[in-house]
Amino acid sequence: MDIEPWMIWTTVIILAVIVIILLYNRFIFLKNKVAETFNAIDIFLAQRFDALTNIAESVAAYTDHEKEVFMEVTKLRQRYDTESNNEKIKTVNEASRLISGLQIQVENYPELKASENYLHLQKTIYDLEEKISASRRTYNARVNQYNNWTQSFPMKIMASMMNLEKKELLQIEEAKKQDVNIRSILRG
Amino acid sequence: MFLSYEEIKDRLESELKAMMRVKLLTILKYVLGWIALISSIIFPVYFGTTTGNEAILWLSAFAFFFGVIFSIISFFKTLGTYRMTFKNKVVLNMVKLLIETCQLPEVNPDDELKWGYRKLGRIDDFLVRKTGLFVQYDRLSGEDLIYGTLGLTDFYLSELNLFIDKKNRDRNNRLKKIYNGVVFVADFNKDFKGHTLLRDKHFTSIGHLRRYFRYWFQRIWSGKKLSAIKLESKEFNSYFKVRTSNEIEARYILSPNFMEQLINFRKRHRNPIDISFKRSLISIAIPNKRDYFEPNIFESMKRSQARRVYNDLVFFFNIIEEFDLNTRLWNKS
Repeated sequence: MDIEPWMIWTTVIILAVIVIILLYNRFIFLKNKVAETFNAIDIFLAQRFDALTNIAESVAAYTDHEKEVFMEVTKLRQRYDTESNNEKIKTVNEASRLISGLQIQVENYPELKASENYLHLQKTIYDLEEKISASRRTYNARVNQYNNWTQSFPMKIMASMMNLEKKELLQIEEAKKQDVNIRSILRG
Repeated sequence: MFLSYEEIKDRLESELKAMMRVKLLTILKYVLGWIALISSIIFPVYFGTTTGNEAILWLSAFAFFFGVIFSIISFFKTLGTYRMTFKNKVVLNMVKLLIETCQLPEVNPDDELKWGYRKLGRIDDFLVRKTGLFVQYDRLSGEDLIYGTLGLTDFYLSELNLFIDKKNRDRNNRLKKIYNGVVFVADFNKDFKGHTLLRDKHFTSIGHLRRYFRYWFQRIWSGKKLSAIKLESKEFNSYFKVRTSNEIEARYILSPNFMEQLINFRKRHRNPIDISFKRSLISIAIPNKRDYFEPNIFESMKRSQARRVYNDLVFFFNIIEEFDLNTRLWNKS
């Protein structure tokens, strides 16, 4: 049987369609994976924010000087839920900075530092920090994979047709480790 | 948390001294065994060939026969005694000291610090299957079970041999050994959400290559889907292939600090190491053709052998301590 030109064209078109479908599905899969990881981070960030707010509240209840910081943290928490992903990161970083200032003040109040509630909050924050760190590492690994696929030639052409832009790696400020030493916390 | 090696060494001073005496005696017997073996060959051959007397010939043959048997028995008996003394005097006392002097960070009324040893015991079949370390095996045997509780966590350490049933040419079943080594299992009574498996990537012998392909085939056939992930540490990735059903949890478990500990532990061992985190268990398999705690009579006891045992035991117990602290890691269900 002779091979007609239309047979070659049909095969090429079928192969091209298959490649396009596979690429499309791959891009969607990678995009969803990145979004899924960010959702996990979002949950942990919100929990961490709540724990930070509770810390601010317990310090503010102890000393009048720190009430302003507590009010500011509460304000940040209120607007957190309605913010975009990038704004959320900024807000959490801002809250972390405020709380780390507060934690330095806590050194002046040994009774507060030794209180059960404060220790429990510290432990909670430590756990959440670890979870956020693991989620962030997962997010960045998935973003790298996504960027490698969508930014290399010739997949880049298809990605730009799907409006898939390069994603940025996530930087979240973590509380200073020396402030949240789990062993010293547990030993009281 | 645990006593340092120097402290352990001081407390085990009398045991280590006794071990030194046994070691010297073993070396002496070892040398005498060789002399007996060589003599039992040289003298009978010399007298047997230089004399035509039949009685001397027979005597030489007897001397040769019993000399060889005596030498072989002497070798193995002496080495066996040395190994047994090492296990009883050094390893078990070290476990006892480490467990009984351990200071748990969190004071919990239900905490326990206890341990035990059974020469003919091994890790239960049910527990070995639960670890997720070994995809397929039909029978197992083992010995030297060290078990106990550290805080709220039960642990088991024993030598294990795993076998699969194979049909030979006559259609008869024969057992083929697929694993020989030590397995450590810590049961936290709380579940991981997913399964994370670390397979060693290094192979320096045909046996390691066989092991690599066996796991590869078993993974394909079992159809179990664990996704391979790469971690940030290139050195860690060069030692281990990480597969998991929960990527975030895997990264939580394999924190940069824990990865470093695993790399150091891996560097101390010549053979590949596999680690599994599944259900309520953290399990470590270290294949070894020889007895795991088998001492070498020509190596320094204090400087290398006792320290090696100490490092491994502390590594195992530290894992329990580290993971017991991270209570939020576990699935509350």
